Amino acid sequence: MQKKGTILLILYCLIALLPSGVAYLSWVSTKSFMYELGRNIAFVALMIIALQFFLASRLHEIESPFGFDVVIRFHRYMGIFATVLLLCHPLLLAVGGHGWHLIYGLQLPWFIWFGKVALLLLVVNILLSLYQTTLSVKFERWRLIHDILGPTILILIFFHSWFAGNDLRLDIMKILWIIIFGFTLAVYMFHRFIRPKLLKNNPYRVSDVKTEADDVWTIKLKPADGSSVFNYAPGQFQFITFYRDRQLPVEEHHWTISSSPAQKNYISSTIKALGDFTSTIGQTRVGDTASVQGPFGRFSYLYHPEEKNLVFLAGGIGITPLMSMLRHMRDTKSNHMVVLIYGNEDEHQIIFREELSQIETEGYPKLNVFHVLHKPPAKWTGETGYIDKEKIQKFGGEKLHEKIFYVCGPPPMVGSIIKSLKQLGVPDRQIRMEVFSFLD
Amino acid sequence: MRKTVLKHVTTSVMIIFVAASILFSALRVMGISEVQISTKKGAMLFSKKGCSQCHYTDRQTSKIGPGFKDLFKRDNLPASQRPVTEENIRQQLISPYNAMPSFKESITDDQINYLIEYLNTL
Repeated sequence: MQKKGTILLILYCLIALLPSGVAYLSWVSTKSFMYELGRNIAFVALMIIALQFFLASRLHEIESPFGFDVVIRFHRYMGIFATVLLLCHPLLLAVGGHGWHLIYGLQLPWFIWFGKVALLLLVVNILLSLYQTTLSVKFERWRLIHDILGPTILILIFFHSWFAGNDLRLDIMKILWIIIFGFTLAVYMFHRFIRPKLLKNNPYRVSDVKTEADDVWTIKLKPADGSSVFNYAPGQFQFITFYRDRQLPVEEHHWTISSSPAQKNYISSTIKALGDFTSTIGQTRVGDTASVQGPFGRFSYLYHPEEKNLVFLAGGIGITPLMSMLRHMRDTKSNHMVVLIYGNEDEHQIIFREELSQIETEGYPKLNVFHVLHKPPAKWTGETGYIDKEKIQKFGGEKLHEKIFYVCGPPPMVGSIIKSLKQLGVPDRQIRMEVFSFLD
Repeated sequence: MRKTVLKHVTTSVMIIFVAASILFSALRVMGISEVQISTKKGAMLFSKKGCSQCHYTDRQTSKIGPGFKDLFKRDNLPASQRPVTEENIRQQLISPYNAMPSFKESITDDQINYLIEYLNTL
């Protein structure tokens, strides 16, 4: 898997540098170094932007070696980097001999204006993505804007580079450009229009809706045609779009799979009401249909079969991927040794309490569960407060620095736990966590 | 752990891109292969010898003489209608067809070769 990831990264770099390489081999410049640098960074930036579509399109071959959360974060960093390069592009051209009228002039050809508008939209796109929460832009609205701006920018830069760039007079560059932009638009069309239609034509049906705790429901889904669910590793997540009529919103969201992959005839996600859409999950009924796409992510013990001594640290709804792993260990009679320290605000918010206790009793895996409540009831005899360094030390067992830690929960809790683990001397490579939100 | 690796990988990729852009730009300005050196010299000669005063290099339409865009992709030379070969271009420079001045006394064999290399890239 690591090898596949390395190959993909090398391929990414080679593709991004391809136009600069082809242009270099095809023609020798009589311009200045700064001018050439301005042109070459624009080539790289354009390629990064084209490749952004591939990174975001949830293609299994690209996602699986890294995990979707890592791919999306890379997409985000590279988007910012490409924008910085493109902001430098006109400045370097101006310094390199093109003249400053390129920056402030109004009497410019239409294709230069295309480039300027593309750059402006790119900056808007990046700022909206970075400050979505601060600007109070709802996720669905941000996504719609992102989906419109992306291809618009791509088309504008295609025409800008085609007419403005001297290198695009070369036939080989023209062919390269058509291939690159053609493939990119094809991937976008597949991701946004064709695949959703295919998924909708092969729907899943809701077979059970169970209330797990206050504002938390488990939705079980089965393929409508009676076939088996897709293969997945416990701890991975899926994208679901519910079609429930009754004027309920139709939106695609991603949720962790909470069922065990040993169970082939259904798949479940346990969902907490955290926003406008998730607060409607309780209104989902048996028989409603849904599009399901998955699996995604690499937050699973199955990717590390040699590791047998595990500590699970969960907060609230963050228990779901860990529950999927525990259920799978139970179903496969695994001999793993697992300590689960599970933090919640109060007793009513504890999810899967009975089932966890049952797994602990049955002995597969060898599980010890410790509940930690921030606001315990009067009769509570368990731990109180938050999951901190002392509790990890107390319940994690001996030789903590040799154990593998799986952490999942609200970001502040995850941050504080990671800090505690580092203070306890646990190396980075033994800490696994799911970075589940795409926009922080 | 994955977040740390991601940051290292992303930083490395960015450094590679910037370094490669600088390298390609430098190589492109300096010229590196023999062919490219010849072509660059040819481009300079094209301007220095005054060819650019009468001929466009980016289009086929006439300025004073015919444009040279895609010259080597054509079957015949635009004025003389002789086949497009290196030898016929050499001949055109030394003993020109029509009103073009002769460069017989003012150009060396090497310089003609550079010019041909350059014309081949148009």
